[in-house]
Amino acid sequence: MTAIETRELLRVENLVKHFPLRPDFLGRSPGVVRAVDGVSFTVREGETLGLVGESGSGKSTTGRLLMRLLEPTSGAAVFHGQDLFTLKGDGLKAMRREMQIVFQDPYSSLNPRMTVGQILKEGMEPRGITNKAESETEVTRLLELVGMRSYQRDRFPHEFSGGQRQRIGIARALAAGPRLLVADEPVSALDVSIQAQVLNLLLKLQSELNLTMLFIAHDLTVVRHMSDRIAVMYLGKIVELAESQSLYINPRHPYTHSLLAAIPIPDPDVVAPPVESNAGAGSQGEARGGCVYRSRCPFAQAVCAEEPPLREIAPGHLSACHFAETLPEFSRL
Amino acid sequence: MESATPASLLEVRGLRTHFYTDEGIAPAVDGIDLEILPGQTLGLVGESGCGKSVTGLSLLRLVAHPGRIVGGEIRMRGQNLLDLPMNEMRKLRGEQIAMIFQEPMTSLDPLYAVRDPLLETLRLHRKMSKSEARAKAVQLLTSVGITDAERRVDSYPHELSGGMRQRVMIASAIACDPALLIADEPTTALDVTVQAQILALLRKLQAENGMAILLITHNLGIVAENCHHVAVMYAGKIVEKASMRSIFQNPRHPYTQGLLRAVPRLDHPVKQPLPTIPGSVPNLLHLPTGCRFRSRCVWAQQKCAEEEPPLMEVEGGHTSACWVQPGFTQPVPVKEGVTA
Repeated sequence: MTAIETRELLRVENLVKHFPLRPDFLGRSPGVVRAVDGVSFTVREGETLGLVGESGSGKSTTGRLLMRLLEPTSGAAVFHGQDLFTLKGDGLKAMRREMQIVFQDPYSSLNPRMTVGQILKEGMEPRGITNKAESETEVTRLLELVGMRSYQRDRFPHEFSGGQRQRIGIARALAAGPRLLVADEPVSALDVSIQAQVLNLLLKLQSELNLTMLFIAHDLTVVRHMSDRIAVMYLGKIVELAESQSLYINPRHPYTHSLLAAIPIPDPDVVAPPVESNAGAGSQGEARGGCVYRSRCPFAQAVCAEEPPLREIAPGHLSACHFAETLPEFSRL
Repeated sequence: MESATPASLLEVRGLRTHFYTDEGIAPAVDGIDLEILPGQTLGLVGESGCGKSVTGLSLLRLVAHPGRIVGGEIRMRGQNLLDLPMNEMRKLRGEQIAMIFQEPMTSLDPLYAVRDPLLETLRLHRKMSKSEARAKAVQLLTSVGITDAERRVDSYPHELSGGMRQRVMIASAIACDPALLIADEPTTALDVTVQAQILALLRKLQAENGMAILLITHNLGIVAENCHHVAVMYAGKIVEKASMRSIFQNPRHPYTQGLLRAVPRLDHPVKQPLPTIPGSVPNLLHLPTGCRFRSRCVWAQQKCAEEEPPLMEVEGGHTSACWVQPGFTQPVPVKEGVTA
């Protein structure tokens, strides 16, 4: 990270989202799912922060809360000096111009009854572009920006392949002229060759438009490839946060070790480490009150019944493990 | 085509499975040869729509309308499965060849307990009594790493996690000790740590009972860690076939090379552009003349448009269907009009 880019664009503080479980037949709720359970991080202007974790880690919920697609249970998020969660009406509209989201599934996130041109024009509405000629020029510019042709504006989403639909989804997000792009699993529905095209496009757009990105994904190689810094989430909490390079060279949380160990590496000379024996065993119920990872953790001790705070163990490297400093070295390189 | 080693468990010759759609005939599998050796894993690799799943279903003769096997042979221990009457084919499924699918959520019937498909298989193929079958079911669940199998055998699918469901699927697939297991993207729907466990389980079962595995996947990392041999499929054809090491160390088809380059790697610098394969897979209803990959290929020449390249030997046991056969370290030419 260069010093010029260190201005903070988004600060998230103690973000919490609890989903109530379905009440039983007497109307008593059996409790809540702590989808996001006290998450704090900052995103600097022009950088990409990766959010990585397995299903149920709360990474997508975090993205949706920031977009105000879900209302938080508590917590604060300050975007460019404004508290996101108190905005209403015009303020909320203005904020939506600044923050846009790209979804995973390019098949279900585009309106099938609108042409590409109509989809993009709708996306520009928050910018107040109403002049017909101006909006047509803007459609052309957006399509070219994402590597498509101007004549494709009159086609419908079903006429495009998955990769091209994702390009349309990105163009729609850019139509509002955002500063922050939340990309929620933007390539996980795409084939390998198409995935590389879309990742390259996002990198190109980021440098051309000075976009700030929150890149949410479960694929650790993809997240590493796209991010300056990465936050690893597990059961609603951030367990480790570090610059991409150091997270992969020197992971300081047992869960990060386990995730890295499980990556299948396309190189016959790389020997896979032993498989974690109780993967997927974790659930929130058993973890209440202590370290969320302790039921799965091979290093767990009595002290892990106390929740470890996320603390800085080296400049810019945070870990929520009592034993962060003394864990064995681990690397897949 | 040279004759396969006599030791092959399964030999596919010129298999063609076509889909008769309203818009025309889609040759989803269009004349492929495969050899699967006993006790070994063949990886079948390719992107969506290349025909790899249809190949798996064809081996079991489970292709649904409007698809049909229109040619070729599938020889298992010398016997052509395409000549078998349906009742014998049914007997063979599950007993000799079993299959597991990508979605453990949808391939188990929610109305039946875990024990039911297991008991059905064991009683049908092994003619076991109810109590024998139940005991065997518990033993199978234990062997696929389900703790507390005595209780779990009576669970319903919704009570199990995705990884557990895939274990149940594997348990019913191996119930009759099949000689061949077809695993179609068995871990694609699972988390990465659970994926590692399921693949380790398949390797362990293979080491124990010597079954052959056809592993259908799009993930090259999974290939490197699990396969002995690899066949790369593109638009209904096999474009390259080799031992696992040879595919990674000396890939000779531009499509294989492109796939290997397009994957982000842990030892690459972050935030740098990836080499891509331009364009997308051709529509099977409108295939180009000559080589099916040529419109996306930076090496394409005149001949590639005129004549379809057959699989040609690169070195012992390694074949590639390309007229150019570029070396992996050769600089990639920049082609007019083909950009990422």
